[in-house]
Amino acid sequence: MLRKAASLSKYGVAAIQLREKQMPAGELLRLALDIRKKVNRKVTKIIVNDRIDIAMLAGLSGVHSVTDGISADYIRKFCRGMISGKSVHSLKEALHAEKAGYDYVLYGPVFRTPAKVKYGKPQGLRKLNEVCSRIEIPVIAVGGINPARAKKCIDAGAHGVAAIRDLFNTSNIKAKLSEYKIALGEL
Amino acid sequence: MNKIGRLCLITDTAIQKNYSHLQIAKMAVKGGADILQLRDKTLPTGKLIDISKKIAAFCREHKVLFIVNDRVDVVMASGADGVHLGNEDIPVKDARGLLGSRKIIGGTAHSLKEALLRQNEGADYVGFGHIYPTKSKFKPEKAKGTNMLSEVVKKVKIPVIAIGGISLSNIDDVAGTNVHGIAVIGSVLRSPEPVKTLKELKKKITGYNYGSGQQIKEVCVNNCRI
Repeated sequence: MLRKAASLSKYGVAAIQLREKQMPAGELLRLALDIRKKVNRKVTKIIVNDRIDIAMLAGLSGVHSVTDGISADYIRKFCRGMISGKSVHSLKEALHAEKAGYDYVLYGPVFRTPAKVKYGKPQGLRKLNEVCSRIEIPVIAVGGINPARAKKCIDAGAHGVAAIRDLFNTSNIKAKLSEYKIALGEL
Repeated sequence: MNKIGRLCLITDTAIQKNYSHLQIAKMAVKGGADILQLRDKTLPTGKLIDISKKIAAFCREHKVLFIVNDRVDVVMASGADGVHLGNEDIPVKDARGLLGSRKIIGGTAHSLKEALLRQNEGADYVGFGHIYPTKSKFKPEKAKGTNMLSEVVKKVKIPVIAIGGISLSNIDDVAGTNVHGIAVIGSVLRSPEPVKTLKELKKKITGYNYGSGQQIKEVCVNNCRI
């Protein structure tokens, strides 16, 4: 995990989001601190899901709120200077997140992804485009992302893309990220 | 002003489905518990903060110390009086850095060594156990018994709260160690008359002449805000 984080940062990934639902807080804190040491923070932001305490203790760049997660007010109040994100699954949720004061939204799943099959059909590019045109804050597309699809998301108005499987299942991060760079223009 | 009291009730909604967290808080007030500890490992953060805020207001009104298990973030956001940290949670020292000196921080210990460690790290009290076999929580370790509890009580200066399988049938033995207090879950939440059971436990734990020289920290329940 640490080596992965280091090479993701080395090849230009803009943000790493720690999403360890089951990990005890002590272990998550150690992981966050270790990752912070490994990545080039001028290039890569480190964002943790929901835990303002971990973000503060590890000196991270932001906090990401999942469904029924931490509100933007608390992130602003306790984590000064950090960015706040929100997972959304519809235009309504995206509008709500913007109004609530989050700095960006993670919208998805845009494409079919094994992890989210249980939540029904993916949102698709048309809905992504609608969300992007209706809110001012950056929209990060997630769900079934690969370099070719990343290009389509950007064309639909997304600010960026988030990938899990595509980056973790590759043996050559450098090559994979250069594919993304070509697709996105930059990282 | 309030002290770290002697009877702590833990709100566990995993071992039973009859009572919600808030209902257990009300039970604690009626039964004379001094501390209420909210323990929930499954609720999303936002929901946990909402519940915690409600219980914090209720406990403040009734002068019950309100502690949240594990979640320093929830304490910060909800205005609870403190946090109880297990061995896998955020370390006591780090939690102190975030919460400051006015919040209560409790730490779990399974041995004398760990209890002394929690004390050195700056915990306000130590939860020691489990004393007896219990079904309320998965326990990889053996029950500690009252002899070991007695040793911890003698050697640790901060208040020791005994936990694990404590009920009316063994409270006399536990209280006999001069332990500062007890934390209960199953013996109350599974009791046909939980409030009555709490009252009886309270009578037993306060009935013993407690004076082993442990320092009790005075805390302000009403103004514990960061």
